[in-house]
Amino acid sequence: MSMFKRTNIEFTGQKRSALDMARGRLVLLSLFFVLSYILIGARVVHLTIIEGELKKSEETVSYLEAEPVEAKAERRADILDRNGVILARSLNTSSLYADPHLISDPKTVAKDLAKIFPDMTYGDLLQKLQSDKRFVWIKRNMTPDDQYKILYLGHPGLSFKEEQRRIYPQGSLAAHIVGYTNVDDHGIAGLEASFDKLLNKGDEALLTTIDVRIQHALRREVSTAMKTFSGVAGTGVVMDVNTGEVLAAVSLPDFDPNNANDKKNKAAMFNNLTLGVFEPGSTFKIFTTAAAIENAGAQMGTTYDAREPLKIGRFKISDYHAQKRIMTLPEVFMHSSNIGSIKMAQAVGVDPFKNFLKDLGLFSKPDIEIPEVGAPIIKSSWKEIDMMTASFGHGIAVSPLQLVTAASSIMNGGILVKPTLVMDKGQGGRKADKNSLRVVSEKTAHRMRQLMRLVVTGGTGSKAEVAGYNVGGKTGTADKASHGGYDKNKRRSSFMGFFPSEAPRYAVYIMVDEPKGTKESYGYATAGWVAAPAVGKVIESIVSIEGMKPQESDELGHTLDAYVKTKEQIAKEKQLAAFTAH
Amino acid sequence: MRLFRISNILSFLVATICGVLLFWTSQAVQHKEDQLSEIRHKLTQETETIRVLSVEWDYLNRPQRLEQLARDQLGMEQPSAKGVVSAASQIPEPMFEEEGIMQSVSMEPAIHAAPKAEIVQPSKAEKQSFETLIQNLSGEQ
Repeated sequence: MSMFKRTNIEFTGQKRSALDMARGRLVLLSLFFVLSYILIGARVVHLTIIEGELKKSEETVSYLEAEPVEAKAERRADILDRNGVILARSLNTSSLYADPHLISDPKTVAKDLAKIFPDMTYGDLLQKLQSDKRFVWIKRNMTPDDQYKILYLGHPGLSFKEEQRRIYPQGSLAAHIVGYTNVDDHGIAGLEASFDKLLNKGDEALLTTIDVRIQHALRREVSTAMKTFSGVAGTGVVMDVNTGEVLAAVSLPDFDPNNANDKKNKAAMFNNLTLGVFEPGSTFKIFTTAAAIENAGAQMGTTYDAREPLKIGRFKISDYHAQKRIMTLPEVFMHSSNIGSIKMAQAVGVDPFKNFLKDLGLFSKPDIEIPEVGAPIIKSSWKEIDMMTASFGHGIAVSPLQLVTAASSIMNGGILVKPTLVMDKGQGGRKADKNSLRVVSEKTAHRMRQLMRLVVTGGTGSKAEVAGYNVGGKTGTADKASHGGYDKNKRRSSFMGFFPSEAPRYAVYIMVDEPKGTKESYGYATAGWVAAPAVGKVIESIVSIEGMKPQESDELGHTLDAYVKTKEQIAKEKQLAAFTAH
Repeated sequence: MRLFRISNILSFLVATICGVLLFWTSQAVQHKEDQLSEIRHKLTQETETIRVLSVEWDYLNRPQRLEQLARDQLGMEQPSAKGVVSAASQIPEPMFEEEGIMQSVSMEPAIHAAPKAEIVQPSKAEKQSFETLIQNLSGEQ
């Protein structure tokens, strides 16, 4: 049946039909090819001319081939507080730049731009637009509203570049800790500077140990104390005594990181808490007393003769709240006797006392995650006179942060803590750290808790008491050094508080620089009037923020009363002494 | 003609249908791809908006501002530790007239709230938008 069967050949009619069939096939085939070529041609035109321009600009990768990898954020990572509240975040904004070569009428453009940006002058803009460069910044990080206005103008030669702008929603609240960045997104201060590279990788938000609520309470109280007593500066810190986590850190005056680059105010940029080193004054007696108990075997009944002022070189050391009698150790601590403290240090010895302070980390630059850290100032040769002055917190300058860290290391039961500003995501806190270093025995720590509680129940720190929370603490009023001596009218008043005394959780420290007495404080500007009530108020805020229940009893309160003479007893003794002298 | 045998016609039909289907599918896919990329674009925009809004949320919820608003508008004061009761047993039992001893039981709040300040509508500067947020942040002090 095939068409090629030779048997059909003899019939002309059949032959003809076969030829016809062949021609028909040829026509069909050529038609097919022509159509194909037309199709191909059309496709080529479509691809090269119609789609060509579009394809060039777009990615030709099909979305279905592979799920596109989540575009890696090219923005700086966030900085969050311990509860996830944003302290710093980068947002997209547009920056305007110009190519002066493409601008035909710089005068009109400059006039229009000056209308949109009132902070720029026509002259400056014109100068920029007439320059010989191919790229000039007009305005960095502008608002979308302004961007719309410029797009509306439609001048050629003006273009936008998408940039990041760092926003600090909390404003100046934690400015000294968070720090700030420059316009090119590089950290200049604080955590922004020390974690600059990590933050720019943009992988993960930086979780700090700060709690904005506590931070606010602390800042409010430091600021109030400063205003009430007309102080020039102030600082404060709230630290978890067991982990060293800093929950709040304030240094006043401070600045707004949102426009920190505009106005540089030296005093506001200075972090008093970590960079400033000061003579701590009486708060240092915490360490002197702890050293006496730990190293010199001092008991609560050990007495120190504080009847006569001591002479150190050309200085005469006397007591501020002078008792002029023989005092027990709790009395020395409670009345903050300088003479008694010197005697304690002398009992410890020059080198053991030095080593004790060294172990507490008071001799070296503290290790914390911000770059603004000040090294303590200590005389290179540690002689007896240095020990004597250091025993009541003079002749040695340390940063408040160091002071709080060292005191926390004693109050938490004697384990050295390292201050930190960044949450430790590792093995559930670092309390379980095996490398923990013991600085004092638990017994000494317990004694110190009793002594600190005594200062609040019966001593200079009574205004820090918060009923039910058994605050313990130590006041410190240090005259400021000036012109080789001490200025009696310029001082730093500080209070180092801990609560609850039985098992301290938080250390709260506040220092006010150069407070002046007020009518309400009867002219006093000492720590007991300035810093202690402020610490009390911060503690009140912390307990309501943290939901801490009040203690049922006051275990440590009045446990040392047996060692403290009452006013009547002192009066009686004096009478007796006067009688026997006659 | 043998050319138009059933099998030929059928295969031609099948080829045509396949071609049409293929074309239709490729068009559909392209359309879906466009939709997808549009959705992705919107998603990015939304994410960016959420980022901005969460900054604004934290900005408006600054402890400082909340404290101020609570004081001015609601007459609230900072809680005092004295007001915290450690155990339920410490709450004094109210006594009523029938029991013989009368102690006034007041259902009113112990501390009267300060007179409410006039409710101020959020000013224009506080209205939620990115630009005002940035302006606020840089203008605030």
